[in-house]
Amino acid sequence: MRLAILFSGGKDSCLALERTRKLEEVVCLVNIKSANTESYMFHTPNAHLVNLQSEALGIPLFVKATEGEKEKELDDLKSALQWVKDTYDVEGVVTGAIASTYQSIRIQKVCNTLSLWCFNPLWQMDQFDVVKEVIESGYEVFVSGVFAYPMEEKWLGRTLTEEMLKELCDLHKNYGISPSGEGGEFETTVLDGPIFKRGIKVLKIDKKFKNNAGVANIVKTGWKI
Amino acid sequence: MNILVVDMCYKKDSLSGYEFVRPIASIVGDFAFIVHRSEIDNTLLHRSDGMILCGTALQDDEYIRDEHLTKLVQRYEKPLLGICAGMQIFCLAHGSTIIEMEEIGMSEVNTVHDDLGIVSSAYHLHKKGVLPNDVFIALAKNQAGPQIVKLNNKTQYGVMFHPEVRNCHVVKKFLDIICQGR
Repeated sequence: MRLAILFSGGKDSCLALERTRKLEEVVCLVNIKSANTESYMFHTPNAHLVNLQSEALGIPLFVKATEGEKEKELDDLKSALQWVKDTYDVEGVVTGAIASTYQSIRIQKVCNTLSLWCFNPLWQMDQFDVVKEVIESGYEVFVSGVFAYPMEEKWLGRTLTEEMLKELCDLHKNYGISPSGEGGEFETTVLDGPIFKRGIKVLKIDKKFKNNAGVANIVKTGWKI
Repeated sequence: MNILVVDMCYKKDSLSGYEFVRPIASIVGDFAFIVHRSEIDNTLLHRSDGMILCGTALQDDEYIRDEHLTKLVQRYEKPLLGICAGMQIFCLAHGSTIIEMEEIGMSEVNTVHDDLGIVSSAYHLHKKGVLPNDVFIALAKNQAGPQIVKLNNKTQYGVMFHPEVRNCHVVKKFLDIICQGR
């Protein structure tokens, strides 16, 4: 089956992509670039990096810009999926959704309207297991944003490791932070991993942190040798 | 205990298996024996203590044409739980009709009998539903129709929603019923 991946560039998208590639044909990545930082559906820091990630993965990318207005952004998603369906002869769409019924229901509805299959290969996974699998598989995951107390500025720009997973376990126990960031507590950008043909190197970042929220914008990159 | 977790998806080891089969197997735990519907035979059924027929993707309707599965389900006497597509096959096997009925998302559910616990809201993902005939009792309903049904005088149930999302206790309660019956 020819499939498109809804690709944010984060760890869940990459794991979903890896699982999909083992079973079906991935013909393109679709990124919805939201201007709304409050969007529950699509906003991610370092969205500009998806072009590099697409190149590193060797998979074509289609980017659709959206103002990110609630529910209207779904019209933009629909037009993006219609475009890849027509252009790449795509039969279905894959997401990295784990537990959010808010996102899942909306994407299922859009896919259904377009008669596209919808696949969620991480659906209902234990969120610790997701992070563990990402680490053990060898992905280099950069923490690009934190949006929940008590996650502090020091988290920005860190790389996901076993040690960090332990800290996330503590945050989960004490503060209810989702270990995979499923509730939007933190966002990630994947720089390298088993499905990457080339690794991305971060050369310069610009951190902004205020009122228990912040982002680590990657402003300069290179290729790993 | 040996629970057959039946993969109802369009093919064995499909991408949909992650979404509709593994979460159920995860709830069942060590008792789960996953098998694709195309591989079920009388030996497997004989060795089982119960069977769960999983759901499948919205665009997948291959299961409806699986007459082999429907016949096996019809003859199966042990505890059974059919989920979404699984409920459709379960009801079809016992003379009910599959109808067009689209529900995508959460909806409120009214539990009438709590055999499988109380469900107040549930996650739906289907384009087809069932019109259960009079061999079934409705244990829970919503605006669209029956949400949990029980086959008369049997520990066999169908749920139209996906209990692996928000209502895991339904599957656990089914496992308790099997344990009590052993």
